[in-house]
Amino acid sequence: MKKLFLVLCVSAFAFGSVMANDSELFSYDKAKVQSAVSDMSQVEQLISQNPTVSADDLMAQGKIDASFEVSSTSPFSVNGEPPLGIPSFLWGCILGLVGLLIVYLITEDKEETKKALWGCVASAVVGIIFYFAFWGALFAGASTI
Amino acid sequence: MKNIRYLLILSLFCCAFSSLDAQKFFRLKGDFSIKAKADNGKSQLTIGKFYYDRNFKKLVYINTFPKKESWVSIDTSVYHIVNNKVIDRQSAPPIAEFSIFHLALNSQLSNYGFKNTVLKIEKVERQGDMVITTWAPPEKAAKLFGKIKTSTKNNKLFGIVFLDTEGKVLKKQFFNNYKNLNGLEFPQEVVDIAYVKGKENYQVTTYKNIVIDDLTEGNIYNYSVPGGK
Repeated sequence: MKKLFLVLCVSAFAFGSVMANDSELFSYDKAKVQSAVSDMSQVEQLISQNPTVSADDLMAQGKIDASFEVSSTSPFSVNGEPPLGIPSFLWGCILGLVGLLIVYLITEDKEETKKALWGCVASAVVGIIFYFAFWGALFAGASTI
Repeated sequence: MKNIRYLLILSLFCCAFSSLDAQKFFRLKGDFSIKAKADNGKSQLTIGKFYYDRNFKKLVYINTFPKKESWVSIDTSVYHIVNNKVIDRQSAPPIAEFSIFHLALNSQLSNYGFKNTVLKIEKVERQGDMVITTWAPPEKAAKLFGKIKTSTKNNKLFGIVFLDTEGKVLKKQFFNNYKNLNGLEFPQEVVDIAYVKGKENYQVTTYKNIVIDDLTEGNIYNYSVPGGK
């Protein structure tokens, strides 16, 4: 009985630990994030009070410094990087929209991803050629009947 | 005769309710700001307006800070436009259909649109007030791409965690401060945390003054790229 109780306790603890890991993934330090962007929040506040103020004006007034990115910023890129510099729509042909989204997120192991990309493209091209060859042969055969 | 009349009235009621249920929102516009902080200390602030119509599928950002410019995603292209001239065009995935706007308008935000993709649900579990779903890539892609976990609270998307093939966290996204816009729930804040070489990069996107199904400014929703689409 004691052994059974011990096994149940250990199992429950292990199970609870596994469950806790997943929920812990969905947490972040809100204060840390807000603190990190607090300088930009202040600049945002200045702009809301004076919508016509430019980045150059703010720089001249000392409100922003050299660490502030003032060049064109696309709202589509994450941290200013294009998707690996590869036409990512090609991923979409193979894996669909999810593959395209994932390409944006993966910034590590670019060489491996590029190799996989060309492999996927090559297989798709071969597949298309076989497809047309098959149907072409089928209709060619049918037309002789 | 009476029975037929009752049946007719009943079917009319059913049609009326089903059409109410089928009513979908189709447009969103509003103000946005993106505050990004990279691990090298670089800061980035972008302010402007966004426009999206789920029928045209053209995602339009009109920036007012730091530069006055437009960024438009149409099909597999992203156009950078300044003073009504196309400065640059890049090939890109059909971003608009995976945007928070498209997903919200199509009631797919709770699963981030993953339900209609090649991803398969591997596990669903309730932990506290969250329902956590684990999405797995197809077998053939499992060596390249890791799993994705989404969590919802009260049927609203709360967070997404992207993992690599070894289960290491690549990126987290959190959707906060939902606002009910005549029945459409929309998050007013999205927090992105990207983990690159052990460091954290932050991006906080806020949405304000959101208007749904506005019938004005139709030319912006159906943006005509100068010299193009």
